[in-house]
Amino acid sequence: MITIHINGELQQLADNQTLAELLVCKQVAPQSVAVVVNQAIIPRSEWSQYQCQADDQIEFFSAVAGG
Amino acid sequence: MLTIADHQFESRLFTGTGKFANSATMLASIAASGSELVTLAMKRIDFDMGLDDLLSPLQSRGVKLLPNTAGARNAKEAVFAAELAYQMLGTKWIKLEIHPDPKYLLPDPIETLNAAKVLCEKGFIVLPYIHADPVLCKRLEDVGCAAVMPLGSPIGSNQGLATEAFLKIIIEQSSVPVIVDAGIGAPSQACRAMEMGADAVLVNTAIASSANPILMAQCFQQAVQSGRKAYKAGLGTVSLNANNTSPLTGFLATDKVL
Amino acid sequence: MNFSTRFSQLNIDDLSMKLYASTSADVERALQQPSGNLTSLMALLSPAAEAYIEHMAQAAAQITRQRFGANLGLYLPLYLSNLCANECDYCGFSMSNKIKRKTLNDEEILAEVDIIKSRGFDSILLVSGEHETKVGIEYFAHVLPQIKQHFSYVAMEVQPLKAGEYQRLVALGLDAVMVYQETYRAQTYAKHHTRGNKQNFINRLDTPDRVAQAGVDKIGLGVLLGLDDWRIDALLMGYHLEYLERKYWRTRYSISLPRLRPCTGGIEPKVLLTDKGLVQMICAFRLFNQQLDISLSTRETPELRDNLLPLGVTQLSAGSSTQPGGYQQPDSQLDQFDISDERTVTEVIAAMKNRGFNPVFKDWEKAWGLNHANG
Repeated sequence: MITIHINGELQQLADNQTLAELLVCKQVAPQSVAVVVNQAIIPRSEWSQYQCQADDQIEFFSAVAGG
Repeated sequence: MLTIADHQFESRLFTGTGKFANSATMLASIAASGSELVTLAMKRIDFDMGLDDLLSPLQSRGVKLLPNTAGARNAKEAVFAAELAYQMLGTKWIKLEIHPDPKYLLPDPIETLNAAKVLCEKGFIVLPYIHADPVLCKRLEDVGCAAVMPLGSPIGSNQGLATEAFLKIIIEQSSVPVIVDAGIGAPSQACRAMEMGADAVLVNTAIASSANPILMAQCFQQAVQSGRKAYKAGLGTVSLNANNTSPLTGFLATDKVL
Repeated sequence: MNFSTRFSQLNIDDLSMKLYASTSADVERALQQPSGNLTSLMALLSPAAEAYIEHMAQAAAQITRQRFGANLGLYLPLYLSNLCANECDYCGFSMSNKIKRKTLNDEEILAEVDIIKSRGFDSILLVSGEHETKVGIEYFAHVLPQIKQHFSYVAMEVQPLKAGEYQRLVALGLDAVMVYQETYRAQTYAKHHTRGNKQNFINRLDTPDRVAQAGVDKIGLGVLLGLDDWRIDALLMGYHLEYLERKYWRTRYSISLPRLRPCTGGIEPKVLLTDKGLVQMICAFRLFNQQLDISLSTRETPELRDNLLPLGVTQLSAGSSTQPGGYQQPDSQLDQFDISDERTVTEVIAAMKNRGFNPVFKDWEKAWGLNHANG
């Protein structure tokens, strides 16, 4: 098990989980999010390769209403 | 037909998606407004709040999405936000807004120009939200912005076209479309902006905060159409009285050739 | 994109038809919102606007006074050379004309400069024929610094140069470039320019773009009124001006409105521009562009020049010679064109003051001496 931060909250995660798997686990619809890991944007195409590391700061962004 | 970058719009009313009571009203209002370009913000997902799917109904309506960089306080953050929007929504269109001032949310011209330069170089279609500053508009045009979005008055204030004299100069000088953004509080003000020759207006608060947003959205649609038609038709003129005496051109009375 | 691209998109026949179809209602509408509006300019240049000439004059005089005060700038041309490798049937310098050819050397330039300075002038327009090899960039780069020492404002009216050449001259103190299209009608242009580099209509059309990109302070446009229908040429010049001002917004602009005049071996005007037409054109451009410099040469008669002063003119020459060395040794046989106002500068100034205008010899100081180029 490793510990990561998702949108500022601590979360326990099994080893070798990818970002793609994490999105499924968090029930986030993948077509409308952007993912930032340690302040770097991870392109959609790399989500299934990127394996979460201990202490990763992971942020999921989505579109919200705004002017 | 309004063309921005290579995209054509039938409607010259752009709308925001914020401040509506619920998304059903927001969607119905956008439908009633006829808007083909809607703005969106971006936020870290709050897992406790549950996810409200904003995008699919908008996408199924076929409107073009214009994510904004709201929340960015400097050029660097705005560039980051634009990249984020591209990853999220697959669009290179970005409403560039940088307001470090939390009170009136007034845009920072220096950071905006710096960010616009970087984003244009990266191939973004940049629509900057700015003060009604004619020189800034030319500078933004020079770095490649696809349009400029000067404000009518402070955002959300419903004060209308407080910057009218400067908007006129911007409209006269601009080589890119001018979209009057922020502060338009009534259909008559949107109509006035269009009569002056603005290429489009962006309205959010005035529709969203109306007691009847859907009806108000229709009103804005008609106001924008009327204003545009009036601009094209040419406003009526005050009639000119004939002048009997000709102090400045009397010397032409015996018209000489060469 | 240069102006030639924009120009190629214009449907000139259609513009022409619309201009001649303009009604008094169009003119009244144009008078309400003339500034920066090409549709309004079209109406103000149309025959329908003739009935509104006094109204246009009043408005133009008022705008000019509001913007420029009672000031009128004075300048003189300094003809550097009458060598020319072009054949233009309206110009006395055409290469086939059997006139004595001369290019001023340093000493002769200084002698001319001394006379011009002694008359009080501080703004000068350097003129030459168009002879790429003998009077080209090397000659200009050589003489410009010498002349610049004596004048606060130096303008040039020579052949179109390359972008890098303009940059070089700006660094040496060049302030303004006049490059007159003569006519915006390609066929008419081809008819009158039958030999030499000037035959390249498009290159000339794109020259102001190069000038602006080099960071010159002011660009002068002009058409030779009479070569073709002046109303259409004026309108197309308006399009050119509008394009340039929008794109190169840091640059100042001027226009000249020379009417075709008889010259050695020359032609008669194809389309006459009456005094009334000239007044209409000056007023139309003033209403279209309130900050535009409008230049008046000594081609016009003293009476007309005096009457035109309040209507939008901002600068004029007085006591001009239009031949190299002409201030030292006047010899009208060598002139580029005949001068109609032969009054001395003292007489012109007296006439100006009599009408309530202040002569201004120097209205400009180069800010901080720094050059910038437009993007």
